[in-house]
Amino acid sequence: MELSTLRSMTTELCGRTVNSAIEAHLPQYAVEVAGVLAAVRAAALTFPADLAPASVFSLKSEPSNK
Amino acid sequence: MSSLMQKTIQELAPLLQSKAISPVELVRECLERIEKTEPILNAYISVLDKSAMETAVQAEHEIMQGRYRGPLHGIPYSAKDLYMTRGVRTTAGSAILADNVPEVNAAVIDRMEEGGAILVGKNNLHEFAYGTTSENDHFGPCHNPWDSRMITGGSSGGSAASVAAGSSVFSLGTDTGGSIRIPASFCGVVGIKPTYGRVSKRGVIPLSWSMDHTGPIAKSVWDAAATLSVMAGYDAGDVGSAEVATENYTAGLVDKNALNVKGLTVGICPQYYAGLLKPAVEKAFLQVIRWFEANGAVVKELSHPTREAFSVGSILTMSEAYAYHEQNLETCDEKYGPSIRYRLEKGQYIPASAYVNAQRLRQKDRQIWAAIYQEIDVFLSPTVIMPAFPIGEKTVMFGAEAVDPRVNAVLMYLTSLGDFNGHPVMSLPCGFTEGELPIGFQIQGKPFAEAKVFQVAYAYEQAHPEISERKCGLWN
Repeated sequence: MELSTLRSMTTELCGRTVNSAIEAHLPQYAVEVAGVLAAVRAAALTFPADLAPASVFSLKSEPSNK
Repeated sequence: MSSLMQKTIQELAPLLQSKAISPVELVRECLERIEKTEPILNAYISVLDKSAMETAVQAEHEIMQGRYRGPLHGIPYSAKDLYMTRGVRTTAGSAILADNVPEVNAAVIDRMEEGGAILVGKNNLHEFAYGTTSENDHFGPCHNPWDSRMITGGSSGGSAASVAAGSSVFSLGTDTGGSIRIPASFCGVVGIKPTYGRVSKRGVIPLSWSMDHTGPIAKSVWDAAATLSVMAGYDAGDVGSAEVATENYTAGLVDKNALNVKGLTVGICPQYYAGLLKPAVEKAFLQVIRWFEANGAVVKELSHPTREAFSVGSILTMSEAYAYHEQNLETCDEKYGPSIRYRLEKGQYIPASAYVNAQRLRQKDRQIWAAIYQEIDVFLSPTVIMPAFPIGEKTVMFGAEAVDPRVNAVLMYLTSLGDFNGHPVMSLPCGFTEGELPIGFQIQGKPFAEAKVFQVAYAYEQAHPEISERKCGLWN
């Protein structure tokens, strides 16, 4: 992942400032974020198309509770 | 003569009810114990000596009048400094909230008041609960009562340390990736993360709304059951609260002779942590499995349902934690400790589609677990892949890789799965290293089946007094 992409995300998408602490860690963020995004993309390839997200704030309607 | 603070709730409650001891006497001993151990442990951020003694006098009066409220009445306890307390500063272990004095209590603090428990202090923690070592940059590190050079684990490190050291009888913790169970394991006490929604989170400073859980840390399984019985229950003020009937979890723990594990089907998944466990942890957990087998349980080896849950689950916490802290990160970022600031900022780079797909994986994971629980009663694993390590240790081994435990979630490898699927999971002691550091294992049950988890844990605990009754060196 390009560092310039992360800088743009900070300023343009999040409306934040790239301060010195963020700047210093951008190379590590680039590696770690790319890794975790690749993991979720790989997982998503196995999903049936109609798989809905978990109900974020409740287990009440989960099948496991029946 | 042994201190009252060595006793469990199960032992103290009858003494209080029968007026053999007074809450005033007990709270005084607790405060003395805090004074003695705090220079070593640093388990508290605030100690409430004046209000605790006032409440103890009131509790004594009520009990003398015959108005006994139940097993927590007159029991001194502590709460992680993430629980809002009316008129008492609540820092979340951060400089940002150093002067934060809430006007209301967290819902669970109110429940404790109704049950008659006496709050003696607010426990130290990993800043904003976003870390597993409890090395707090602002209030100093929590020290392990079994060896003060070691970490307590986190993020509820002060809670677990205070219970193990007898500077509180029980404590309230929170668990987003293992923050109740990791320190419980490292400090040799019992901690349960209940089912998501079982206990209200209203008034508890959030880390990650969809992953956060609140629960007790206690000296014994019975004590944890008694505490959860008071904590649990529907709260319309918490969007995540589940309207599911609760029960008195101690009710099933009365006749220990009738409890056994014969006929239970117990799931394990050794391939998930193959090559990752430290030898002492592997040995202790193997003995757990052998005990279950020797006592008539059927042990069933499973392939892990969702190996990706560990890494993908972090997307949820990263995104939600960033959303909560975004404004402060822009305006007062210098007040965050370096390691938490590093982790929080990462959340801004997670696209919405990744967050949604992580929640979809969570749904798939829950469906798979539901199918698995058609064939098993409980699921067991070690709590943490290693025992506690020295405070300030730069790297620890995660398989063949040396990682920084402040940045890498290595300590959560086995615990975060329970926050992802939302099931109830308890950690209880199962052994010690050669260096006298505790080791814990986990019992996971079906959603809202806390009673079953308590019963299985109680059967194991009662059969292993040489482990459960061992006291840390601070008592010598």
